Amino acid sequence: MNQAQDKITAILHTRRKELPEIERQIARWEKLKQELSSLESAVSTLRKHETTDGQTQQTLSTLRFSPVYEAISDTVASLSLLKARFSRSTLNIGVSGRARVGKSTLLQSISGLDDEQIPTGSGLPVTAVRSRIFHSVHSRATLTLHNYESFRVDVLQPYHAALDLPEAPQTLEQFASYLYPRSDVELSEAKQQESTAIPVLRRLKEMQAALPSYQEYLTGAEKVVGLDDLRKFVAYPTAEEEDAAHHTGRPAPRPYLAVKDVQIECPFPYAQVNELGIVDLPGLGELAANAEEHHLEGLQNDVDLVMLVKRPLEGMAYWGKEDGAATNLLDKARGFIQNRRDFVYLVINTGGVDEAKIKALRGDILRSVNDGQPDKHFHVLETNTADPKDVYDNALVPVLNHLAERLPVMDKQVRDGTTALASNVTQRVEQILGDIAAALVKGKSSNLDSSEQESLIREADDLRLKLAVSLSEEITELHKKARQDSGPEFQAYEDAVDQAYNNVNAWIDNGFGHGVEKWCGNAYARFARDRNSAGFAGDELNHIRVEISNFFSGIDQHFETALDALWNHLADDIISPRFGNLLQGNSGGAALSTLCHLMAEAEEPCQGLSQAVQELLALRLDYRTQLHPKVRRALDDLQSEVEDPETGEKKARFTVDLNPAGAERLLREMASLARAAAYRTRKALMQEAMVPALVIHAAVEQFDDALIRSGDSEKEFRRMARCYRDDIWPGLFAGVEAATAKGVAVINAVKAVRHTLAS
Amino acid sequence: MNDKASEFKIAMIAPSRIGKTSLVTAVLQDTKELLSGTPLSIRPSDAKTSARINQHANQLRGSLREREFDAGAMSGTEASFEFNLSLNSPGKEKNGLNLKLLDFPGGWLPNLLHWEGSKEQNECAAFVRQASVLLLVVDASLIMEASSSREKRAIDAILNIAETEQIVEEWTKERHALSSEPALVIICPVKCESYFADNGGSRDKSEELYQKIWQLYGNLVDIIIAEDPGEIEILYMPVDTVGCVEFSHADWADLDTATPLFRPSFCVRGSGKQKVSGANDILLAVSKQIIRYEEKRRQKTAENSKRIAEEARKHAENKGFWESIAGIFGETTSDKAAKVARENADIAIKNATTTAELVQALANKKFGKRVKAISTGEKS
Ligand SMILES: Nc1nc2c(ncn2[C@@H]2O[C@H](COP(=O)(O)OP(=O)(O)O)[C@@H](O)[C@H]2O)c(=O)[nH]1
Ligand SMILES: Nc1nc2c(ncn2[C@@H]2O[C@H](COP(=O)(O)OP(=O)(O)O)[C@@H](O)[C@H]2O)c(=O)[nH]1
Repeated sequence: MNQAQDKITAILHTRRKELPEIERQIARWEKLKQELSSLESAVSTLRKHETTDGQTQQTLSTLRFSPVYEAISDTVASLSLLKARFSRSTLNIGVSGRARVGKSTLLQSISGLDDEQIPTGSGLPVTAVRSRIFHSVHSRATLTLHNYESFRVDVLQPYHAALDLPEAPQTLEQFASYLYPRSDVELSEAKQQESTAIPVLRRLKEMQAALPSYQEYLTGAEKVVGLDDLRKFVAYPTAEEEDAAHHTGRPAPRPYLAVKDVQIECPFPYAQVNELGIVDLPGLGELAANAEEHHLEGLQNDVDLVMLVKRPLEGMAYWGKEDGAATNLLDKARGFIQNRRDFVYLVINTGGVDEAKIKALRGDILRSVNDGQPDKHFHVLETNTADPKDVYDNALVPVLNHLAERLPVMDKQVRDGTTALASNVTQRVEQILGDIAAALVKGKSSNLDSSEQESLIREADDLRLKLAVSLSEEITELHKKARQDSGPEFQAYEDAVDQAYNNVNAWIDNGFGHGVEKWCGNAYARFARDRNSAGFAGDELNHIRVEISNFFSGIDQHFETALDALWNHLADDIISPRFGNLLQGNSGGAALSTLCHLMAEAEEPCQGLSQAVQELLALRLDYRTQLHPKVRRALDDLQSEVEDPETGEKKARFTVDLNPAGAERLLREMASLARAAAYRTRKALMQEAMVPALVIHAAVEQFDDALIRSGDSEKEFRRMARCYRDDIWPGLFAGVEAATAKGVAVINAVKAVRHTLAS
Repeated sequence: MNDKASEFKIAMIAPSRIGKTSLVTAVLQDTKELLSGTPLSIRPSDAKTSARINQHANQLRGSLREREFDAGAMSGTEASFEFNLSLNSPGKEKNGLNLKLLDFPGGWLPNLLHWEGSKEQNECAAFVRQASVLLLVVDASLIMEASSSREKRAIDAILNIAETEQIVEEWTKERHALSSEPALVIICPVKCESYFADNGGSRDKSEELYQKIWQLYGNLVDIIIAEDPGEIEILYMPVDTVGCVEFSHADWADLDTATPLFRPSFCVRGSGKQKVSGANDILLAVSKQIIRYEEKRRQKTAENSKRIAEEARKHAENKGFWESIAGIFGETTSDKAAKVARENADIAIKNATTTAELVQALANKKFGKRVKAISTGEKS
C-alpha cells in the first residue's frame, strides 16, 4: 500500500500547485466579462451617435453579447469546480447505492466505526445525514449545523415544493405554528394522485413536531462531538424510539435535522492511508425530495471516485432500470472525465446473500452492463461489506491502486476539458472583436479628397501655432511672476506660511498640544521615573522637531490650490478653447488628463504630445520635498545637548529641579526654544516664497518645449487632427465620417479586451 | 547742572522702545570702565537722568535674572527727555564736558520739521537743529527678522525713514552754514547680538546687516552728501547694549496700518551677564570731532586771526558752539600730553588728569572693529 500512498501524496501536491493559475484564470474571465460589458456600452453609444453612418449602425446592432456572457459564466463555473477539485486536501472515495444495500456497513468496515456513528438497519433507511470519514489519529466528529435559513432552504423547501405547498415559512416561529394539511385530501389534486405524497407529507409533519428536539442546534455554527455522542446527529430515530413516540404521543427526537454536514476523523483499521476520505453519498432512490440533485452536487465537488454498491437481495439480483438511472446520474457527475470505468466501480455486496443470487447478478452485469466483456464499462468488485479485512483486500486495495494510476489522467482530462471550454469562449469573443473592427473600417468610408486633406493640415498647423503663441505669452507672464516679490500668489504663500506658524504657536502655548497642566504632569512623572530631566527633555525635543515640520507641511494645502488654479487656467483658458468639442465636459486637471489619454489612444497615437501633457500633470509642489530640505537647519537648534562655549564640551541644555516647579520651568524654556525654532523656520520659508512660482514657470516652459518644439510636434499635431477632426472642428469636414472620440472609446474598449484575452 | 562746563549736544532720532535709554546707559557704563583708574569720572549730572538710568538698569537686571527677556516689557519713551552726562575731574567741573542727549518720540518728527505743536516740541526742534551729532538709532532685529513682504514693507514706517530723511536734510543745511563746527551722523544699530560673533554670539551676519542698513539709509546718506559735500562725517556704529541675549522670535501687529508694531523677544545667552559692546565708540567719535575742529580752528586763527576774531565775535552773539565748548580748552593741554596721546592713546587715557587731556587721548584711540566710516568728513 505504501507505493499507492506515495503516489496519492504526490497527486495532491501537484493539484495544489495548480491552484494559483486556476485562480488567475477565474479572475481573468471575471475581468474579461466586465471589459466586455464596457465594450458593449461603448458600442451602443457609438451606434446611437448621430454621425455614425447607417451601415456601421446596422453592423453594430447585430452584435450579440449576452450569449458570450453566459458562456463565460459557464467557464467560470467549470473553473470553480476545477478549483474545488484541486484544493481538496484529501483524496475522496464516494460510496453510493440504494438504501439497504450495505453502504453503511461498508463504511463501518473501512473506518472501524460502529452503529453508534454509522447506523445500519434492516428495515427503515437509517442514514439521515451524509458523512465524510477521514483516516486520522484523532477520534472526533465535526458537525456543521444549519441555521434556520439554510434549514429552510435545504431541508424544508424541497418538501414544500414536492407537495405543491406555498413557500416554506420564513421564520422558525412561523414554521412551528404552520398549519400543514391534515391528510392527503387537503393536498392539490395532482399530488393526491402521487403515491409518494403521503409519506413525504408524513415526514414533513414529523419534522415540525420534532422541532423542540433540534431547534437549539439551528445555530449555523460548527460543533465538535465525541464519536460516542454522534448517533442522534446522523441517524433517524431507532424503531424503538418511533414505537415509544407512537405510544406516548410525544414525537421522537430528530437532532439530525439540524445537521448540514458531518466530518468524522478516526483511525482506519486496515486502510491506513493518510489523506484518504470516504464520503457517504445517500440519495439514490431515496424519498427525500430533490435528493438526486444533492447527490450530483456532492459528487461533482467532493469525490474522485464512486463505489456503487449493489446487493443481490430478493428482487434485486439483476441490473434494473434504477441501476441504469443511477449510472446515468454518475455520468453527469463525471464531467470531463472520459471513461466511466475510471470514475465508477460497481461493488457487489456478497454478504448474507446466497451464491445463486450473486451469480445471477454477476451474470446480468456482465451481459447488460459490460456487453459480455468483463470490466468493459465498469470494473466490478465483490466483497462482503461486513468483513473489514475482506473489504480492504477486495474493494479498497484495487480502488486505491486504480486511483494512484489513473487519477493524474482524470485530473488532466478535467483540466483539459475546462481549458477547451474556455478556448471556445475565447473564439467567440474574438469573433465579436472582429465584427466590431470590420464595422469600424466600413464606417471610415472614403478618405478625404486632396483639397480637404490640405485644409486639414492647415487647420492642424494653425492650431499648433495658436497654442504656441498663447503658451509663450503665458510663460512670459509666469517668468515675471517668478521674479516678483509680490502679487496674490506670493501673498497667498506667505499667508499659508503664517497660518502654519500660528498653528505651531498655538500648539506650543497649549503645552505642546497636551495642555500645560498635563504636560507638566507628564514631565514630572518622567523625572520621578528617570531621576533626571534629560531623558524627557530629549524625547520631547525630538517630538517637537517632528511636529513643527508637520505643522509647516500644512502649507501643502496651499500648493494644491495653486496647482489646481494652474490646471484650470491652462486647460480652460488656453487649451480647451482651441480643441473644439474634444475636451467638452471636462475642466482643469481632468481635461488635461483626458487630452493625455486621447492622444495616447488615438488611432494613430501621438505619444510625444501625450507625454508632454502627462509630464505637466506630474508636477508636484510640496513642503517635504521642495522646501523642507532648505529650511531644515532652522530646527537644528532643538537639541537637548549644547556645546559649552568655553570648554567645547557637550552639556545638557536644560537643568531643572526634579519637582513640579522644575517641570514648569522646563516647559517655559522648551517653549521658548520651540518658538525661536518656529520663527526661524517661518523666516526661512518666507525667503523661499519664490520657489512655487519658479517651479511652475519651469514646468510650463518644459511643457511648451515638449508640446510645441519637439521634433515630432508638427507631425503629431497633424495626426491628432486626422484622428479627432470631427471633434476638434465639428462640421468643418461635414459629410465625411472619421473616427471620433466615440469611436476611440470603442477601440480602447476593444484594446482592453484583447489585452486581457492575451494575458 | 554745571553752567560753566562745556556742552555737547547729541540728538537721538528713533522711535520709542528702540533702545535709546539703553544706549545712553551703555555709553555711561562703557565710559566708566574706560575711566577707571583715572581721576576723571562720568556720571549723570542731574537727578532725573540719574533716576531714569537707574530705573532702566534695575529693570534690565531683573529681566536677565529671570532669563526672560521681552523687549516690550520695559516702558519706552513717551515724552521728550534730555539725558545729561558730565565728564570731568573732581574740583574742575567747569573744565568738564557736559553731554546732552535728547530723546523724543519718533512720532513727533512731523511737528519738529514744521515747528508746530507744543512748546516742548519746539524746544526739541531747536535742539535737533543745534545738535553736533545726530544719532540714528536703528533696531537691527527689526531689519534682520522681517521676512514676509508685509513685514518688510512695515520697516520704513516703523523707523520713520521718510521723516528722518527730511529732518536730516534740514540739519545738514544748518551744519553746512556753520562749517567751523563739528557735524556727525551716527547710524547706530542696536539689538545686534544675534548678528555679530564678537560678543558671545555664534553667527556672524554683520555683512548682511550692513547691506540691509545701506538699503534703508542709502538715500539718507546721498542727501547728506548732496547738501554738504565732504564736511559731515557719517559713521556706522553697531552697539550691543545688553549683549548676553539672542533673538528668539517677534510679534508683528497692525502690519497694514500707518503705525505697524514690532515686538522682538530674546532668549538669555549663557550666564546672563550683561556685556555692552561698541558703546564707547560714541564717545570716541565725539572726541575726534572736538579735537579735529579744535585743531582746524587753531590753524585758521593762526592763519587769519583777524577774520577768526570776527567770526568769534559773531559766534559770541549766537552763543555758538565754540563759546560753550571753550571751557575744556581753558586749561591748555601740554604739547607733551598731545604727543603721548598720539603715540599711545590707551596710556594717554589712563594718564589723563584733565578733560582736555582725556578728549585728546580719546580722539586718538582707534574705533572698535564694528565701526565703519561711511563718509569721513575730510574734504579731499
Ligand atoms: N450479513 C450481512 N448483512 C448485511 C451486509 N450488508 C448489509 N447487511 C445488512 O443489511 C441491512 C442494511 O444495510 P446498511 O448497511 O444499513 O444499508 P444502507 O442502507 O445501504 O446503508 C443491515 O441490517 C445490515 O446488517 C453484509 O455484507 N452481510
Ligand atoms: N537685545 C537687545 N535689546 C535691547 C537693546 N537695546 C535696547 N533693548 C531693549 O529694547 C527695549 C526698549 O529699550 P529702551 O532703551 O527702553 O528703549 P527707548 O524707548 O528707545 O528708550 C528694552 O527692553 C531694552 O532692554 C539691545 O542692544 N539689544
